[in-house]
Amino acid sequence: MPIAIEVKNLRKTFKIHQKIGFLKSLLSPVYSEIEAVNDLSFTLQKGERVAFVGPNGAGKSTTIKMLSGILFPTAGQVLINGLTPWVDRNKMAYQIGTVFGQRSQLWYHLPARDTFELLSYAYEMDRGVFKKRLGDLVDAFDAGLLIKKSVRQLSLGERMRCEIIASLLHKPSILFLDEPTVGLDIVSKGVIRDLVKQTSEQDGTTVLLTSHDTGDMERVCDRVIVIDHGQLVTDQQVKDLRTGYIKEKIMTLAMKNEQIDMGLSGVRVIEQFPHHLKIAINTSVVSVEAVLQSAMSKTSLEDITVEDPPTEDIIKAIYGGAKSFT
Amino acid sequence: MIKYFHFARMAFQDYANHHVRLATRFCVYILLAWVMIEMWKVIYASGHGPAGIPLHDMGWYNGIVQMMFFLSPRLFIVIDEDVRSGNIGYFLNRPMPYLWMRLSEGVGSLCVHLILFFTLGVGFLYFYLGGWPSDGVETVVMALALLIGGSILHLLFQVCCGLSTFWTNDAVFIYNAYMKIILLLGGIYLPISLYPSFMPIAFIELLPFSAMVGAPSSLLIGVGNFWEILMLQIFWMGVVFVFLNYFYSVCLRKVEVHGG
Repeated sequence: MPIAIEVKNLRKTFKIHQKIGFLKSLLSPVYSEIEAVNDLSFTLQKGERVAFVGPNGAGKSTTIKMLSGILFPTAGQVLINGLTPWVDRNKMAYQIGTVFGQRSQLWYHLPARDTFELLSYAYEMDRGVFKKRLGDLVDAFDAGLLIKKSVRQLSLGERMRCEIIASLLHKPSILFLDEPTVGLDIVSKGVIRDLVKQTSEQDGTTVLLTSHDTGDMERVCDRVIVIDHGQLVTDQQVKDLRTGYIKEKIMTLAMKNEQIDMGLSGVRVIEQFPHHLKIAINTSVVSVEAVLQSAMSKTSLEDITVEDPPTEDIIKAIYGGAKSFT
Repeated sequence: MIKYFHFARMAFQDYANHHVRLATRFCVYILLAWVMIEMWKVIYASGHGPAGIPLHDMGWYNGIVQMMFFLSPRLFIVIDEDVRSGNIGYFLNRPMPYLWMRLSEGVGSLCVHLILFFTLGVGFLYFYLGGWPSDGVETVVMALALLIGGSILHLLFQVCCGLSTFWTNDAVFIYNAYMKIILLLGGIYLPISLYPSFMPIAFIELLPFSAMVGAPSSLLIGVGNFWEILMLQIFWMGVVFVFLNYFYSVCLRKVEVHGG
């Protein structure tokens, strides 16, 4: 499959001016350096949907800004569809779409439709093509009424739908999404996630998404790249994260006895109240089957659920330095 | 070019909706023009008016000079905010340069002011001063045409001031310094031809500040040549344009957007 994004040894250092008194600062300014991205390398195939995950200050947004041509890197190489973003900004602009959750590209006092029309001129779209594309996107995003309203009258979720339409209007082959669901309620998040995935599947758009919300990663992406302190921590398929990082299962029991003592090593009680027990099982110490047998020998069970730990816990473990078992 | 036109059109449409802002701007202009004209009335009444320039023409001069400052939108503030907030970065991956996009928007907003001030503003001067200047309505038309050039030049200077935020972290004091130079060398309170003899008048007349402000209005008091002023404006626009292009390319290297 052809490569859409190629990143090699990317680095970005920010110089921060130290305040050391007016005169001293003027005569011999002192700068400290912050390494936001440090020797980062990865590639994305065309049509892939990849989540770019990391704690605050990990360098996710800085990387996405270098990839989308906003920032110059300190060192390294980036190719977006064969173009260097900070050199071929203008050419590349026609091939990428960007959504920054905390910024708007819509004109605040005018209806979103006017911004779409303006963007169609900026991207030099044929009028017929623009009208058809806008019609398709408006149908897909169910935004027929929204785009006629002044942007200031839209809710955050509605505005975000319009932002994504704006970024997809020129049919970019790569879409950069920087925290697209930040501040949205659970329903709007779901809508945005489904729409991004559906549009990407339809148009074959490559998606690189940064988010703190693991739901974005799970619902939209197939692959996840985790970075911390500007460096790659792991790069693997989302489905492999569960089996790869945490050898733990969560078991919830509804039982006849008020309470039981499991008394097994590798079992940790998470919550316990009459007729209810929730435990974490370290599967490298004891098997789920053994725990179940032990529980059944002590009480009669009315209900059992066995789950993987939440993805958030897996990511937390990765940030904490956990190593993959695979 | 068509995309720039549409950005200007959009800014026009957006800006024209700010009725209160426009009304306030116009009222402040009327107040200022009235104060200046009344001040000159006092000077003429005391017998200290400049020889050869009727009070009526001096009134037109002041009215048009003051208008100049109300025509250009405050573009430097928009750019200053974009630079300080890092917003400028988010425009860089669009298929048009940020600089020309903001300038197009500035021209769009300028057009709203042109319509407002060239109709109601000139109407006010006509009725308040009781007719056209001595050299006829055509001098007013020529002065207004040159005012458009002056406003565009003023916009270009504002962009320079706005971009200076990359170094100063605040464009306001740079803009204020620029305005002080205009007040001094632009012929705001007094036509440049009436400046005291110790000042290098011939040199001042060649500077962009007078070409923007004082020179267009001086046609109303029978001083200056339309084509010479126009050429001077075109020359300075070219100089500032070339400088701006270079300056912008230097600024781009300094774009920094931290965090998410």
